[in-house]
Amino acid sequence: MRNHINNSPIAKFILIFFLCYLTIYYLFCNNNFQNSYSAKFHTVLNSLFDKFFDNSIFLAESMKNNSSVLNYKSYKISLGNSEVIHNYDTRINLINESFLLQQLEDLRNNRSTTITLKMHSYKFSIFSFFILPLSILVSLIVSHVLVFKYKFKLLLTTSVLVIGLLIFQFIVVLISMRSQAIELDPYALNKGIQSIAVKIHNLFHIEFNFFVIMIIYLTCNFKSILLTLQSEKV
Amino acid sequence: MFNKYFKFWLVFITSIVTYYIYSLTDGYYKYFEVPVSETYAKICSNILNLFGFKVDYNQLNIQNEKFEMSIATGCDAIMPLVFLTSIITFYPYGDVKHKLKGILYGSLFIILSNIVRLCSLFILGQYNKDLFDFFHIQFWQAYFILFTMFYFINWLKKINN
Repeated sequence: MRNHINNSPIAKFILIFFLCYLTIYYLFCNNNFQNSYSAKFHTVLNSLFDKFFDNSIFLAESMKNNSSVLNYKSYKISLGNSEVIHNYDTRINLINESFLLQQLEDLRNNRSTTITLKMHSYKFSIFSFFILPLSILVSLIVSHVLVFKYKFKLLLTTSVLVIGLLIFQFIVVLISMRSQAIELDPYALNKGIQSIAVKIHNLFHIEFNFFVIMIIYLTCNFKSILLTLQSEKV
Repeated sequence: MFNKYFKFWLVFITSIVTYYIYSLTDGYYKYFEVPVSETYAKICSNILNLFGFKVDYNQLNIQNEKFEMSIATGCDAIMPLVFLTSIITFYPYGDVKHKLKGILYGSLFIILSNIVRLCSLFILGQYNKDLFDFFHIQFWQAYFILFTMFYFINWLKKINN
């Protein structure tokens, strides 16, 4: 068995791949680590997408958070959003800003005593959407470097393409989410683009991501895999 | 040589993109995905019954008293089949006989692997939810991409020999 693994680059690749993949998985499944990376991710998402949509506030928060509060212009507003959905780690809220401003105005003028929010909440998994595809990418690259002849430039291209793909997918998800949010003001983006985003959003399941990453990896590194296999004569 | 490989990747990627666009249509879902998933549900429930799990199937669902599982998009192994068929078909080298043989054996392995996946997931789902989640999302998805990739590379080695 050990001999076979030593002699076969494919067996070696599979072994290293799974070792790497499982290590990353166990690392990210650790509760403390999970809480800290998801909190950082939410902070990054909130700062990057703060002004992504007109007249709406973007707020990504942990799914475990059952007392979510929106800090807005010195006001602390409870979102009253406590539903926890299994397999999802993040709740993305889009809050109607123009409606909120009007409510705050009413509050200031003593026309009302409470604030009602118009918002759209969306369940999201950072783990499935970003961490898993990236762990596949890292495992492929580590196994490739240890087993096959490699070109740094091609591995870098693979990584850039995969990261670009994930960012593109996330933006499509956001557009799809925004176009379905009837609680917000009408979305100004072209209707055709909105319906395309909603359609292709359905594609983005885990299998799709894994296969696209594999195709990108194979396309970029096919020559080096072939060269190694030919020189090994296995 | 470069031109041949460039054309190969171009045609292959176009075929995959075409498949994905087609997979968004209602026709694909109604006439392809649902019948395939129903067949898997039927086969798996028969196999599970052989082992005494007292399973029933209803369209895309496999269920018994303890557990219910639905065969969703991505659990039907259609993508690995499309990948393998198109990459072998469009590869610029190898004769028709080798290509047909490669596609046939590869498809059989993928279909069998998927039956094993669905049956094992059903059994795991009855006893351990965490293990079910791990195998459902992490293990089997990674298995299918590695299997199809290395099956193709192995096929290449054979035609080179």
